[in-house]
Amino acid sequence: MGILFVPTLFTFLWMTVFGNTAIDAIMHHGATYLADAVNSDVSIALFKFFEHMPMGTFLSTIAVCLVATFFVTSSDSGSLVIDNLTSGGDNDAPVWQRIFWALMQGLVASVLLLAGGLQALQTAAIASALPFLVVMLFMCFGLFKALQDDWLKINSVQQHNTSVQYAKTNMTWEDRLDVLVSRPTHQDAQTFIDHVATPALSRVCQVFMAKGIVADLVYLDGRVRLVIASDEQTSFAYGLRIRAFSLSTDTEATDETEEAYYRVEVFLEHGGQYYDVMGYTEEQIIADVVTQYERYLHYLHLSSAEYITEGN
Amino acid sequence: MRFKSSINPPVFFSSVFLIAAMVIVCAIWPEQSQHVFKTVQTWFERKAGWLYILGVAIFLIFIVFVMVSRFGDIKLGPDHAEPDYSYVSWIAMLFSAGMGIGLMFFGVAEPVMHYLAPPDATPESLQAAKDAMMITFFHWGLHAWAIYAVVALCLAYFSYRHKLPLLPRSALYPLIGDRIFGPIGHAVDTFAVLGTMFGVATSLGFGVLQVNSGLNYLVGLPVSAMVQVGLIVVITLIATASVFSGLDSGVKRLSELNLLLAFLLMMFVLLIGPTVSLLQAFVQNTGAYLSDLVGKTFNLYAYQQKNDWIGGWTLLYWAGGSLGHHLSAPLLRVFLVVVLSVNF
Repeated sequence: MGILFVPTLFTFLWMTVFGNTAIDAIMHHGATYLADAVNSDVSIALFKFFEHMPMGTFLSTIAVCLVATFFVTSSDSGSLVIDNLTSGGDNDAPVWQRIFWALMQGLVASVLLLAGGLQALQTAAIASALPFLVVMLFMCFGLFKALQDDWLKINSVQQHNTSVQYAKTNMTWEDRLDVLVSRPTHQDAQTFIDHVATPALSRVCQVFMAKGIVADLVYLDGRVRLVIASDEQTSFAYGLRIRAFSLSTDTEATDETEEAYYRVEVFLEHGGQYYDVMGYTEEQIIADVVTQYERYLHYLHLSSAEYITEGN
Repeated sequence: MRFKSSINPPVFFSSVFLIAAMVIVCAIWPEQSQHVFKTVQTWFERKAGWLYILGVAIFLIFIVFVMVSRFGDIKLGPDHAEPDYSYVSWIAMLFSAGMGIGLMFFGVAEPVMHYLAPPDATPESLQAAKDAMMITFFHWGLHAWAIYAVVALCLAYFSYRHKLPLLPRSALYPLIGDRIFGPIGHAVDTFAVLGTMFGVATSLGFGVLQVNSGLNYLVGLPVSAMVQVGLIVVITLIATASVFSGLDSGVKRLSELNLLLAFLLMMFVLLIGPTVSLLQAFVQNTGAYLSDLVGKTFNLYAYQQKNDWIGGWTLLYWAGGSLGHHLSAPLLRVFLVVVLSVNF
């Protein structure tokens, strides 16, 4: 936050001190010469302003020195930046390049002053800024996309919930790794849904029914879905769907059939969860359903339960 | 001694070519080019002014959004990075790279000009005085620094976190991928060179005009274009000499000293002038600025046909001044380090 507000406040203070004092002098102390000076030549205003202060000449001398030094530092940093831009981001460019740009800046400033004075300078700056203004809009967009991606990366690491199930059941890490490095085809995914996931969900469904909770198993178009409907509250649903992806590194079209891989992703009542259960055992799928059901109950508890009293 | 170079030919030569072409045209046909400048500026004021206003508004909104949104937590570099420069020396470089000249040149002149010729109020009235400070704050406030922050943030982020070159083109990587190393990237960097070159040249121009006036006032040196060119030559040579002798650290110290001197100058004026009323005005104006921010941000005087007024001022600061200045050095070296340490 400091980057935006500290310099701004300093600038405000500066403008208040110089501007308000000057306006005050014109309004209340009849310093019309200051108004005249500003109207005739802007660059003299500061020195006329010091005239009505004690030690005016001394202050003006300091001001001239300050401007001259600012000139040197501006030229210096300007040539550094331009050199950096024209040498591909190289920070240790040879000295002659920077000198070249420092001289070039002096030359441009001189020519513009001779050709049209203040107005030429302003026009050149305004016109040359336009293309970069447009570029900057794209830079903002690029930054936004990159930040979004970064945020996803950070959060997907923390919230990726499949590792829980791996730890919960007996499965060697070699087997788990085997699943992770394989690239399932659509056929693999469908076989998995039909022969592992559906039986697993069917077992869970039966247990729910045995406990008097009305659960329903829906199998449609290669998708399977366990639903516990509720009229008063949000229903619980645990569905599995096959989703196809391709890892494209750039925007150029890649050979889709070869690059495509399939995931069996979990879909809850409120939508897809972006994690893959392909390769789980029946036990693991059941563990995942139970985990999600537990979260669902926790959500119900947080959103609608009411605290009655301590103990009984 | 081997003649080393590290230039990137496409950017270097297209920049040199475009700048040289402009310089030669101005040198050979000064009168015609003066006319062209006038026409071009009028065109920009009337037809493209809204684009600048909108663009800058977008930058400010974007920066504020990034700060307050979930993205604000994303770090720009390693967790335990220490800043290379202190905060004070960073601020010093920020101001010495162009903003300093602007403050010296316009500190007295701009508020007084708005007071004498305000866009809305009666000239030289109490309302005009209030408005004058408001408008000045608006030109020198958050918007100008938002332009700075956008460029700096892009450069810092993509070079530190994504290990891309410290160049504007790197920010387009998420959009066009490796094509940033091709013609599009070269064009982007060339635009940045042109913006910086003419932005810096403009502040050098302002600086030399003021030095000329000051010397005229103090020792009677005549005010003329030739004298100004002479001054540019002398000061540029001093700057060159400082580069040549590798006095970079010296320049750093010089800019810190300069800021201190400027600060003392300001404190002196504050104490000699109407101190209490100045401090009151500072607080009140800052509050009024914040409350007017949105409306003023988008104010184009669309219903009043005051295009000239916007053109003359707002454009000058945001396009001419800010874009140019804010591409300058601190941003490339110091800024990112400080941003790192502040964690944004």
